[in-house]
Parts: sequence; structure tokens; C-alpha cells
Amino acid sequence: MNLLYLTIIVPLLSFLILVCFGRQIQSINVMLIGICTMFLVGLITIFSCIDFTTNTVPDMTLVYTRNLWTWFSVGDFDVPISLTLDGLSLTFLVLISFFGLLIYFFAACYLKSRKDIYTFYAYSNLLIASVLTVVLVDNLFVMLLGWEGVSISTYLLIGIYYKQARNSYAAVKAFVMMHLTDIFLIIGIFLLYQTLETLKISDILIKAHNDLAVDSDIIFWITLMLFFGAMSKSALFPMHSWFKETTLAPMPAIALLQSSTVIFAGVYLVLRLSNLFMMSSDTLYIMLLFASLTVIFASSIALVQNDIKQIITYINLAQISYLFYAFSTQSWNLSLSCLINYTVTSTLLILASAILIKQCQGERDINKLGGLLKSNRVLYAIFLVIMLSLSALPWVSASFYIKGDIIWGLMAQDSLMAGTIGLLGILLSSLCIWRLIFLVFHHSIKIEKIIRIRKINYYPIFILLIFTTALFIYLPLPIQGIIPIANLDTQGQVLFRILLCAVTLLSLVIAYILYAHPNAEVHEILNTPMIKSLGKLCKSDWRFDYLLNNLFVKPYIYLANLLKKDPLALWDDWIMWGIKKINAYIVSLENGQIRWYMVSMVIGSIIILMLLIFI
Amino acid sequence: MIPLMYGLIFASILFVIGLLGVMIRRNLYFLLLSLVIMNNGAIAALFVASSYWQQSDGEVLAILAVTAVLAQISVGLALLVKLIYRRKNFNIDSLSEMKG
Amino acid sequence: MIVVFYIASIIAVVASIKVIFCRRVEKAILYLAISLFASALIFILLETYISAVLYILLFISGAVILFRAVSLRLEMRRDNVENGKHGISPKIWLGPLVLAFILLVVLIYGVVSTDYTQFTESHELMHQMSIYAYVLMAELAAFLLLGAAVISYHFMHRMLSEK
Repeated sequence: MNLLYLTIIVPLLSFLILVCFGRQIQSINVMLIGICTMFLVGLITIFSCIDFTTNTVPDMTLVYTRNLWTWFSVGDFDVPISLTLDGLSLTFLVLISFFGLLIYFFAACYLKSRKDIYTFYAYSNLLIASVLTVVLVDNLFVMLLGWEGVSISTYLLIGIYYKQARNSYAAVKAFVMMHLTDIFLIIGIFLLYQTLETLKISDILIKAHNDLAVDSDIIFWITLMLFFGAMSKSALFPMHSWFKETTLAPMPAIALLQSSTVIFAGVYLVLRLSNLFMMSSDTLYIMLLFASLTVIFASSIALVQNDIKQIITYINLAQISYLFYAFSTQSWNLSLSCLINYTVTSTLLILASAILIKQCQGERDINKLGGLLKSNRVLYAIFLVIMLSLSALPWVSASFYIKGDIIWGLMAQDSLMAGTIGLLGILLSSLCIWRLIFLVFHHSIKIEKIIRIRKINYYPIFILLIFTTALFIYLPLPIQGIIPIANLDTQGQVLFRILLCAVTLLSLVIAYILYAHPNAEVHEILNTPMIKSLGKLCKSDWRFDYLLNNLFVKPYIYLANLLKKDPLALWDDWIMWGIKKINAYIVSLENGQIRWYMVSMVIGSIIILMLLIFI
Repeated sequence: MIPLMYGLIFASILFVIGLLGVMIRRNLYFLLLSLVIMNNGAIAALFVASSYWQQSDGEVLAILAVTAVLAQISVGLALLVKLIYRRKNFNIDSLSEMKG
Repeated sequence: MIVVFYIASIIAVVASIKVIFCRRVEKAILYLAISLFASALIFILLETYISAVLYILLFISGAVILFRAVSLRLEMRRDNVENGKHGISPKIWLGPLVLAFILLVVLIYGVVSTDYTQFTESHELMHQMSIYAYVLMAELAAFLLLGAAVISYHFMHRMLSEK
């Protein structure tokens, strides 16, 4: 475990090498460097795991801390840079290195253009390093460093195809969105320091538990600010726009951004400070609200999108909100399982659709695809398994148990509305994936030429497929004592599970009617004005961009235009004017005539003498 | 014994006359003559003060001032020669290129 | 004795005024010499004999010889800058005259209004400069003259070599 700091240093070094010399290195070597970096990180992770399991004493939680150096100290406030490894960060470390390795491997097979390869590996290394910083450090201030690193690498990854102006704008938008909400995190950190006078996470948790009252004002504001900060990284509803912009990146980068790294930052913050969040039920309620909004928003939009990338993005967005459902019911261990499940499913979905898009020569509109069933049965099977996980197929998929427990927790908390929305979300997302499958794989063949994809591309997917099944629902996660484990009320759970089955079946039926063999009546219903306008609304992202534009951008531009001439500074123009006049006068005094200089010296000496004598 | 006040008045009169000369003459040669008169006034003040306090410091300073004036005259005359060589006249106003 | 001072000072002032308003070079040098000699007489009246002798030897002879030599070399006889019939035009000298008058008044007022008794009281507090300071000053003066000689040589060098 002494090599833990290497997990951050190695990707960082690799990033520097690739950024500086990537142009000169052959692409196969770039791939080697990238994968070796990730492999090293994975190796260190495995060593840490072995150390961790051998050292664990029963009923004790091992916390490994290593002080590296002190960043700075002002007065009695010092910021040490030290790494901490306990069960939670170990879990995240394993997740990041495992998925990072898979995605790196996939990217090596997937990316072709030489420039893309080295930029992707370089920026991804930066991303991995930043996320590992967030996960491993034990000080909120240092965590902020990794947090900003995540923002920057998101910007870089989205802007890989920077030659098109649109992509650059999208990258800038993502960056600005993330940074705007980082302000909330910073405010939260300041509030924490003001009330608790420490930024060390373990101290914060202990002090907050001892000093602060449950549901007091200050704890509400702190947790709310921290939640807003985490929200930007985890792409909940109002901050989701960067999530949409990630679609402009290449597919492996999307996989990194959407499923396995950036999301982790926000989720890790909430999980790490879960004891703090538990003290404020209001914040948890707000979390619930935002999560419900996101579920409806994302799944309704995903239902009408035509672009494959957009569809999977919105499906992923809907899945993320289940995490926050789990947070709001305070079932933290469940949320961790949910996170793993989400990561597996979304990575799978993204990688599978990457292969799909590549097979169809970059055609992303699902209306122009169809009948791929005959040419590629493997991919079809993969998509079916993904569907299985997304629609929470009873007793087979892991997500059936996890999502079921989460929604059951909501129901048990008497928040029926949110529970219903959760069920609706499952219904809608399974509809989305069914729509994708039906439109792409069934119906008549619309694309003639299909590129053969090499087998090696499928290997990461096959590995992931295992994890979607119900074999892995109750992984023994080493999180005792770090995050509280909630005990769910089991009474009535069976009935609820039957309800969930019914929902899944209902989604199957609806999908079959709507997409498999749509008859005249369905068309008639779809063509009614109400449905049409609803579809239009969803297609335009609920006019969210329009709203943002009107609410923030336009007033801002108006204000900027108003302030361009600096109306408050108009009155002091006379200073400039006066200085110019005096300047012109003084310059004209300097006329090069020695006798004039003498005269002015005499005048000056007269004045000085008079001052000396008469005053 | 001459009172200090009279001596100082005499010195300041000489100084102001020299200053007036510097201000009104455009010929560099006469300007240098006026400078000598001005310095003469300053030297006179030093002499007067030294004899008033019966100390020789003032006299030493006066001699130093004399050498300074001599150096100044020689440099000034060299500049005068230069001026003649360049401009073919003695008018100090012809040197007015250095202005803002 | 005070009468001699008055006469000498009047001669010095008048000669100085003649110097600055004179337009003939020889006359101006003559008046300058008269003015300097009159002030030398005053210095002798002040009983600072050695310095007065040095003053006469160094300053008067040096200055007059330098000025005269240059005027001979350049063959100047008249001031050919001021070409007016009645000397320098009032347009030039009126303003400086007023200024100089004000300055004079202020200076004399300052000199007269000073309370001289306080100087005599602090008489004993004055201390003599050490002999090294005098040596230093003599060296300083020598360097000054040397520097002046070098500078003037460099300035005149080209013209002298040409003629």
C-alpha cells in the first residue's frame, strides 16, 4: 500500500509524456503507454486489495493514511497532502482502475485516427489522475484540486474534435457549467471550515457529529451547497447540459465521462460525507426532488430522440438519478451497489452502441437503421442483456434487486410520488431500449454495406456482461463503519417485487405494440396533436436550452451591453480630460529655450523663498 | 568690521544681477560672463560668513567654489566654441531642438 | 572702513550691471575684471587675506584670461546677436527684470529680517573641520579642474586640429 501515491503519479506522468511527445510517438506505442499506465494503476490497486484483505481485523475498519507533504500552512491552518485508503476509497479505486482498463483496451481497438489516439489517451490519463486524487485524498481542499482537474479534462475530452466550432463551443459550455457549480462546492467548503475549523474529512465527520445539531440551519446550507457541487459532476437535472455535450466526444471518451469517472467524483463526495448528509433531512428531500425531475426529464427525452448517442446519454442520465434516490432514502450501501450496476450497464451500453455505430459506418440515426439482426446476432444478444438490466427483468438481472430495493425504500419512507416516478422511470427507460432494439435490429434492412468488426472489440463487453446478472448483486463491499448501512423494512417487499415485475411486463407489452408491429390505431394515437406537441417538447429537451438562454444568457448579454460603456464611470471622464489638458500645457512649456528654463527656475525659487520666509 | 547683513545684501545683489544677465542675454559668451558674476555673489556670501564666524571653513569652501567656477568657465567656453563650429553664431536660442 | 566697503560694493554692483548690458566684448571683460577686483577689495576688508590673494590669482586672472583668449581666438568684437539700436530691446528684458527685482526684494527681506543674535550665541558650538577634510577638498578641486581641462580639450580638439 506504500505505492499508493503512484496511482496518481503514473497517469499524470503518462499524461505529460503523451501531451509533450504524443505527436512523435507511433500510435501503437501510444496505445501501449496508455494501457500500461492503466495496467500499472490496476496492479497497484490489486496489491492494495490484497494488503487490505490480509490486514483487516474483524470488527475493525482499516484506514490507511500516508502523509506526503504539507502543501501550505497559514497560521494554524495547514493543508497536508496525504492519501487515505479505506473501504470506500478502495471500492472506488477498484472501479476506476477496472473500468479504465476496459475502456482503454476498447479504445485501442476502436480508435483509428492517429491524432485522436494520442489526445484521447493523454486527456484520459489526466482524467484518471484527477478522479483518483478526488478519491484518495483526505482533505477537502486538496480534493478541490482533483475536482478542477476533472473539469479541465472533461473540457479537453469533449473538445477532441476541436476543429469543428460546434465541438469547441460544447466543450466550453461543459467547462463553464461545471465551474459555475463548483462555486457551490467552494462555498460549502468555506462554510464547513467556518463552522468546524477543519477540512480533514475524518475530523469533519466527527466534529459535525459532536458539535452540530441535526437539521440545524448551518448543516442544511452546508449539505445543500455540497450537494449542488456534487450535482454538477453527477449531472442531475439543471446541470445536465454538460452531460449532453459529451456526445460530441469519441465513444471511448463518452464511456469514460458518462459512466466511470466524472460521475464518480460527485457520488464519492456524497458517499464520503454521508454522515453529514444524514444530518439534514431537508437536503435529502431536495435531492429526492432533483432526482425525480431528472428521471422524468431524461427518460421522456430519451424516448423521442433519434440519434443513438443522444438516446444512450439520456438513458444513462435517468439511471444516475436512481443513485440519488438511494442517497435520499439513506440506504448508502445500496447506492454503492447501484453505482456499480449503473457503471456496468452504461459502459456496456456505450461500448455496444460504439460497435453498432462503427458497423453502420457512422450512421447514428436509428430511423435509417434496421434489420441488423441477421448480420450480427452477437450484438443483438448484447443489447438484449442490456435491456434486461435496464428494464430490471425479474430475478435475472442485478438491477431488479437493486432498483427494487431503492424504490421500495422510497415507498417505505412514504414518499409515494417519488416511488411512482421511479417505477415510471424504469418503464420509460426499458421502453427506450426496446425502441432502440426494435428499430435497429428488426424491420426491413435499410443499410446494405456493413463493416465487419473484429472479435477483439467484443472482449471488454463480454467481461462486463457477467456483471449485469444477478450473480453479483450482493458483493461484499468493505464499507462497514465508513458509511452507515440501512436496514430495509422487508414486510411487503415481495408484493412490491411483483409490482415491479408487472411494470417490466407492461413495458414489454407497450414496446411490442408501439415499435414491433405498429398498426393503424397506434399511428392514429401517435398522430393526435397532444402527443405530437408532447413529442416536440421532449425532442427539444423540454426547451431547456431555450429557457437557459432566456433566463441567463440574454439578461447577461443585455447587462454586458449596458455596462460596456461603463455608465458609472462616465462622471470621472473629466479626470482624463483634465490630465490631457495639463499634459498638453506642460509639454508646451518644455520648448527647448534655455532662457525660458532660467525664468521658470527663478519663478520657482521666488515661490520657495516666499514660502520659507513668510510661512 | 563690516556687519554680516551688509555683506549678505551685497552678495545677493550681485547674484540677482548675474541672474538677470543669464535671463536676458542671448549671446552665449555674455551668458557665461553673467554666470561668473552670479558665482561671484555666491563666493562673496561664503567669504562674508567665514569672516563673521572667524573660521576658515568658509574660505576653504570659497576656494573650492572658485575652482568649480573655473572648471565651469572652461567647459562653457569649450561649448561656445562647439556652438560656433556647428551653428556659425552665438545665439543660444538656436539650440532649441530638445523639446517635448 | 565701512565707507570703503560702500564704495567698493557700489563699484562692484555698477560694474556688474555694465557687464550684463554691455555689447562690446572688450568692455565687458574690463567691467568684469573691475567688478571682481572690487569684490576682492571687500574680501580684504573682511580680513581674509590669503583667500583673497588666492581669489585674485586664481579666479580673476584665470577667468579673464580664458574669456579674453577665446574672444581673441574667435575674433569677436561686438555682440552680433543683439542688433537693436538702443541695446537689448525692452521686450526681452522687462519680464526678467521684474522677476529679478521680486527675487532681490525677497532675498533682501529674508536677509534683513533674520535675527542675527541667535547666530552669535551658537558661535561656540561650531566645530572646526579636520585637516583631512581640507586635503580632501584640495584633491577634489584638483580633480574638478583636471576634468574640466579634459572635457574642454575634447570639445575643442577637432576645431584646433583643423585650423
